[in-house]
Amino acid sequence: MNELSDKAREEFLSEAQEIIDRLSRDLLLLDATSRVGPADPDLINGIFRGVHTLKGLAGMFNAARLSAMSHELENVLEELRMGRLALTADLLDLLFRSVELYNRVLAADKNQQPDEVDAEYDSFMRAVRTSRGGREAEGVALQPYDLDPGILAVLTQYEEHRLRACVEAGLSLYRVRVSFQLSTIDDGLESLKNSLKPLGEILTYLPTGEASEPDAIELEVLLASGEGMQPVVDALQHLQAKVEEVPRRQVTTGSPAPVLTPAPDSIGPQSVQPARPTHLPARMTIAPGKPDAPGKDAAERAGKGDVSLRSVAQTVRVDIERLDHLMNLLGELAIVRGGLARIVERVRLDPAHRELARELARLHHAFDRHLGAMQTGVLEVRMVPLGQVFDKLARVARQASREARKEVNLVITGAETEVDKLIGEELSDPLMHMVRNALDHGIEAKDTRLAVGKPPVGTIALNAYQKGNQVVVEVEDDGSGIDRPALIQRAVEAGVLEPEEAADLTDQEALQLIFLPGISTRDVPGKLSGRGVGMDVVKTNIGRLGGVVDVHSEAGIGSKFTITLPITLAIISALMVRVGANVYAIPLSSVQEAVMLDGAAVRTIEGREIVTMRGESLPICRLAELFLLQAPRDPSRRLLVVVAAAATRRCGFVVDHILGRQDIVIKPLSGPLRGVAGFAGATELGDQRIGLVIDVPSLLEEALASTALPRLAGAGFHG
Amino acid sequence: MADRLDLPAPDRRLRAQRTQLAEYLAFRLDTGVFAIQVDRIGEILRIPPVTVVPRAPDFVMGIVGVRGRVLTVIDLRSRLKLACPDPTRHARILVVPAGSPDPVGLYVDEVLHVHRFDEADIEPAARALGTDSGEHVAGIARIDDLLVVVLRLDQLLALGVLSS
Repeated sequence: MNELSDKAREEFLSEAQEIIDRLSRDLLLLDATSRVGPADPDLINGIFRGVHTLKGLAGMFNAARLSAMSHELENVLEELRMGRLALTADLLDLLFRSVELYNRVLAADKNQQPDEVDAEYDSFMRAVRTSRGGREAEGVALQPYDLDPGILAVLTQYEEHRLRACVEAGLSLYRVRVSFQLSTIDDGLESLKNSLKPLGEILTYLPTGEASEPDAIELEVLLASGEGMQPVVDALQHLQAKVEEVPRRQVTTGSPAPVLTPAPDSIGPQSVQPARPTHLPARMTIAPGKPDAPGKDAAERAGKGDVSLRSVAQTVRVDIERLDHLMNLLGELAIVRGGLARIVERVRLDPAHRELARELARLHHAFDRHLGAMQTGVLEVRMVPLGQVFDKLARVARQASREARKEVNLVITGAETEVDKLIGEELSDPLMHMVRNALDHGIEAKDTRLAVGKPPVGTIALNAYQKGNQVVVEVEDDGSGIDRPALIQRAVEAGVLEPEEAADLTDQEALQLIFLPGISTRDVPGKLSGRGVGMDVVKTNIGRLGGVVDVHSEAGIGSKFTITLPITLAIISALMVRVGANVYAIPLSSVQEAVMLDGAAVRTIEGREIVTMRGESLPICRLAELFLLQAPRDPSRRLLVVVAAAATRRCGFVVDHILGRQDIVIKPLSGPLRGVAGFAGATELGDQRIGLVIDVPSLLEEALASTALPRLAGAGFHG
Repeated sequence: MADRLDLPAPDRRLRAQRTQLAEYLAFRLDTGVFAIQVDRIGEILRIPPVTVVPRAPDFVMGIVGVRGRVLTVIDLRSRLKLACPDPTRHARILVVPAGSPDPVGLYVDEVLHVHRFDEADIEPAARALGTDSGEHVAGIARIDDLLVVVLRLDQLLALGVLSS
């Protein structure tokens, strides 16, 4: 099928990616829930269906390795859901391994690389094949219950397995009869399921073929539940269902069961899909009362096709580049708007055109408003919940915790917090590093934890929340904290800190050493981290996004890294200022206020200029001097100061004029300018000129650098 | 917005006959004449207002806006250790390399002509200039009475990137 269009191929790849992501989430859930109780059969079914759909897709697109992997996995999952294979930690590992491998194989397919020899792929395939092999036999007979042989005969292999499992667990069985109007059967079934889910497991639905009205359908539902009769009856009251308990042993009920030919084994696996109510009507309309296996088969197949169609129907996937393009167009429009505003103003000043001026102003106002709405709209399209990133992290954390043999709980809050897609992507590597660090360096071994009276299982918390125009992401652990003396020693050994300077460091300054390149507190490089590359890279990557990372740590209690990021990269509000002949944009999210200060109020302390404002001292920084614009300094002149802040740092930037607020589109600096510190990018000003956008966090750091430490950190930061 | 100047289309028949034959754009830097291959040049721009970037490397003249993107302009004269007179109305920016997603602008004092010559006509730089000319010089071509220093674009750009 090489003639398939690129578009179809792209569609396939992103669909596959979506399935793999969902697989990963389901596996995490399975891992978490299976620790505290029996695995949720719905979850296993969901995983099975995902792999099955993937296999189908891969087959259609000639993705040989994806298809082969899915085939083997499907077999294993089939054994698992039939109860012929127990869900062991090893099996879970294997399943998680499949996610990694899927991602890799998919990436290779995406880049159209030929399938090359891949040791991991081969070893995975071997492992999957050997993992099968019945380790758990099905031995429970169904004697305790007097089930109609007619029912037993129509149960699929899977349904029968679930029935056995429930009987084995000592649950009671109930037979529920309920009628639905054909026109509302979807809603009715949904309501039935929602009512029964908390009580137990629905084993099967069977039409009785005895509906009282022509356009109604009566179903018999077999429910396994640990509850008594009354709660079940109560739960179903609104559906006017008849409930009877399936009596134990030797009591005959003579319940009329529908007669259906047993489904052939080959279609068994797909026949119960409780999570997809729409499959049922299809089956029902064909099946009632008629022994019609081929019909059922067809309905199953129709149901299967439904699975892949449904997932694409809800959303439209768009390449991020197209959104970037839209964003750029909006930026151009914003510039046009600026030009229009100037013309509106000129016409307004001309008394000969009063009427025209009013109309023009009205039009301009409407244009302005709609453009604003459009900007917001496009920005919203780009937003993704951080949960997407956190899901990936949960997988990494699980893997790492097994490798490090440390048990941890990953606690996630604020997964719904949204950031620009680009920020989300760029954030995943730094966060991964931090989670690994927390596991490797932070969380202590079990014995150590018990010895100091901590719970044996460590906790790593990932918190995200919005704070004004910024998003804060915290990575917190309840481990041993960062070892400051070791950090200082390392820095001295690495030659980035003089021994005499070391003594003067405050606790907070000592912690900042962790962001220097080549500093690690681990003597032996761990498998996970501790190779001495890490936090400096994290800091650089986050800095590139216009964010800052801060660290807090207390010995014996834990560490907390706080990342503060802008919500969006694309369009920001900025304060436009003039310094000398140049116009600069300062992102409004970091501006606290602008004030006029008396030049005489400036004091110089240790070579740093400071003013006192409302009782607090504020370091000030003359942008003209920082940028070497050679402006003559006049000590008596009043100073126009823009107070900017990032995280806990604050500084006043001295500018010549404030031009006003403007929405700007940030364009990255490229080529040899990529590494220049102090600028987040550039933006078009509307008169063919370009203005530089100030990178507040990096300038703050530079401006506040009075001791050797921040200067060094700055050097490491900016290469 | 900067105007775009169209280049004469290359004559494909001629090129097919002699594969070594290539077209070069000759331009002036200070008083010297230099050339790079025409097909590596994306477009030629008149100079829009240039924004100086504080703390940028010396050879970066600044940034300009070109149809919604920000282009870094490299001053070849400072790169090649020539005098840097102020731009005149002849000054142009060559956008290179053609088709790159991340192009840069090369400042030149004046665009001269397109010349077509065989690679064999380029005299190796070492012979023509002595040994200290860098990797970025392919050699010297003689066109009528004119001496043209033929530059290698990739090496020239690598030079810029390395020193940043």
